[in-house]
Amino acid sequence: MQMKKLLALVLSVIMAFSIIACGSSTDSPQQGGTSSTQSGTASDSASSTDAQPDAVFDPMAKYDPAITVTTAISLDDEMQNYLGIKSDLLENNNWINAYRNELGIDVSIDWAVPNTQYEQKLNSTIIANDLPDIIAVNAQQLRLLVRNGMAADLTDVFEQYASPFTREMMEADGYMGLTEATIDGRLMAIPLVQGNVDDSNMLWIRKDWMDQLGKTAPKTIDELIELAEAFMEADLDGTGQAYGLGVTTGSWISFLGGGWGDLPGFFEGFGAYPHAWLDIDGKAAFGRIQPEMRDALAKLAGMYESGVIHREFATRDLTEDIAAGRVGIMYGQHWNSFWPLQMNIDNNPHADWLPFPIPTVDGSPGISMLGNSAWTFYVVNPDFANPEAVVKLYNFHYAVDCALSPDYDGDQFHIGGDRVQEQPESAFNWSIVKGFYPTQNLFIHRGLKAYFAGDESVREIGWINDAVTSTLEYEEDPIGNAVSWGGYRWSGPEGAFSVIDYYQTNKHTIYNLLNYSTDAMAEYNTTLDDMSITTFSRIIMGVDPIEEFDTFVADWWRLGGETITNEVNYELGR
Amino acid sequence: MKKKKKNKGIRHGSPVFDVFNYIFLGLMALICIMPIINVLAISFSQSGAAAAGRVTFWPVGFNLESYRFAFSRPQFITSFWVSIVRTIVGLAVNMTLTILAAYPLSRSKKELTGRNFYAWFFFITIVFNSGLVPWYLAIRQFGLINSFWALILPGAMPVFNAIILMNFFKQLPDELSESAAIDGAGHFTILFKIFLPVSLPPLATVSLFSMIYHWNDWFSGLVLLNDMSKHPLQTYLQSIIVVRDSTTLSSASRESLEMLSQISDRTLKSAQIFIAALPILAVYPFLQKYFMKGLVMGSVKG
Repeated sequence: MQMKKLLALVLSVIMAFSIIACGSSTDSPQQGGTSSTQSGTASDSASSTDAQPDAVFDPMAKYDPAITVTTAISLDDEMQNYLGIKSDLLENNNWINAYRNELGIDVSIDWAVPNTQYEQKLNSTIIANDLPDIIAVNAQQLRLLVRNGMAADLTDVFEQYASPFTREMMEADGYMGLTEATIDGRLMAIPLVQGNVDDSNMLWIRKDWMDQLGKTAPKTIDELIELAEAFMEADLDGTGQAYGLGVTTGSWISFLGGGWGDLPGFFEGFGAYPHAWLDIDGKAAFGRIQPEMRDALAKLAGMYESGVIHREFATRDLTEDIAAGRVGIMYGQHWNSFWPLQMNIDNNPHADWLPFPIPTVDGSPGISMLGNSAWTFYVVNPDFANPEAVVKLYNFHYAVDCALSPDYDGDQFHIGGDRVQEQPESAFNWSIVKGFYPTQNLFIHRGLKAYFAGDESVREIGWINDAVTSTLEYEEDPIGNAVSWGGYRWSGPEGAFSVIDYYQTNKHTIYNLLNYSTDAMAEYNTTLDDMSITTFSRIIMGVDPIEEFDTFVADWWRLGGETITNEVNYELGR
Repeated sequence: MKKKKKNKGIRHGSPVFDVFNYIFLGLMALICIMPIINVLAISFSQSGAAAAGRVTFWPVGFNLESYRFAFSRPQFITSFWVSIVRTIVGLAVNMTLTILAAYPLSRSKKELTGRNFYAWFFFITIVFNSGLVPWYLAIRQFGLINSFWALILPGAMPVFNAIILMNFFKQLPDELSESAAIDGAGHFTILFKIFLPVSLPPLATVSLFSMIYHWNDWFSGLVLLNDMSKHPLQTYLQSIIVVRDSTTLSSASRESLEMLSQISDRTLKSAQIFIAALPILAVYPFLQKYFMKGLVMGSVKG
């Protein structure tokens, strides 16, 4: 009996240890790597610069004999769809073939997974130190790789090999993407430049409801609440469950920012920027703990109390409420017309939403926050002998993919519209090192506006021609073409980009002082973000009084906020 | 009618208890089946109605569009096939090794020298777990990355199943094997001719365990296989069901955004989930009868 008890005790202790061992084993390789590979960075960067400048230097010279580059691919929804049309597209598409024939670069794909699984797969590859030659990573992973000496220094090869057109694009981006890829003054990755003008928040409103009630778009927060109450009372779709403002929360998204059904647009109406580092009296200060946030939260608590925000918003599926016509106002971004708002039109073709600039407390123009230009970075493995190949691939992408380039070849490399279904090997997605014209969407919208203002010549540019064609097609029969509503309200005359155009033209934008995560953020942000969402939820739902915000600010400073603030000020040299 | 009379003889307790028992168990069963019916109803519904949450347990605007679409996606078919092959091969490998390990371990110490050592050798793998990274590295060292066998070999020997089977073999009367041995039967004859035929209930149980494991496992497919064409069905399903990170959508192209509305279609997801659940649902009733037999046998022998 004694023995048995002892055995049971020993076994349970062993079990407890094995659980602990499992938990820690996932991050120990990273910690171990930090110290042992630190020294690698310096020598690697030295070896990457030994490309000799020739007498007549051609940045796009073909490799002879051809070199092999390994990489991994994140398959977005389109690529998965194209693979359904032609299954050998990964190894056989216009991009891969052109790399081989024109650049002498043989691209070999180590692995390819759907984009929803890419990060997980990539992390296991990083831990196993099994990286391909060129790999797309996010900002966090970039810093991890650089700290562990797993990223080559690209400063010199970029300086040497970037083509004039690529440089032009970097300039159009205000060098934001390059700055974001620079760590300690060295360019450690090639940024997938996308521009950040598209980041602005806007307010989406059911236009057909406004028309029926004879209302106009709100300019102030109070007018917004008034409109929301009117929608709630009228319940124009007869659902019996109408409410005012759509707010969602979940694992990826929260009301603090997810691009749809969130509240940053509302906060910005109070001059509060919950994610940004702001310049306050010459010092960098975090937007989430400023007094403007307190005012906004107090207002939200009132809206919750009166039922404008749904009593169960924290657990509701907002997409369902939108589709069913229970809600007619939502903060979000330009792409919301495609999803989730399109679902409402699918369900009820007579519904219509319009985007507006954010309303503010005092009716002054709303100033919206802009984020990063690049979210994806191409890192080169320090063991790779030809780091300049990544710049050649980048040059090639800009040369053939950007409609403004003299070498633009859309038929081969960026086919649009329905034709891509017949010719998926010409889709731009297959490019393994991408970069875009930073203000492409806005450029298209402005071209469209110019067309409707009578300038026919803009149709010569493929991008604009496509947009004009689809807009004209939609306008012929809005009800019959309800499936194309999303695209129409996106780039169309009154679409989402008219709001972005308004912000840009009037310079109603503000920049974040810092566009990456510092070490202290990586350490404390999970806790601080959880605490923010919990506290703000409790304040909005009236569980805690607004005074709780002051306690929150004190806690924020105590639980790592002070360290983060000091670090940010140090890194910004303030 | 006959059966009822028989039962009356051994009935204890009041009929009131039975009534409540049936109602309670019935409700539990209902709670389990309702989500499945809901998924089924959504899969047959119009996509707009499903998005607006108007579908509960009966399809709204009945159509088979989403099933047609699911079967027109080559990735779905390929993955479905991978899953079927994986389940069949995995089951065969699992069962062979389970049986061959359970039999010797069920013999006495005299017959198998070092039996205790072997028993602990197996048992220790249940207690200790190496964790994800060593697991991945070990499989990589074996050169199994991106091979179909990565789905089979790392889990080839389910120790828990072997222990279940071993315990069942142990409680079989010694006289069974002894008399066979007297008639000149070797260990293989005893195992295959005597033990296995009387062990159908535990065999059905452990084969169901291993089938479900192979059918449902998505993680090893994602981590160990590099080509999507080799991914089993559950890995593919995970990729379409997982919640998307919407924070980077602000810079998506028009094509991606158009695709977004198509992919997030609830009816399509439901159809694929239901098709994927079907094979296991179909296998279960056939194995069920062995569970019943096992229970009855136990009660008679008491």
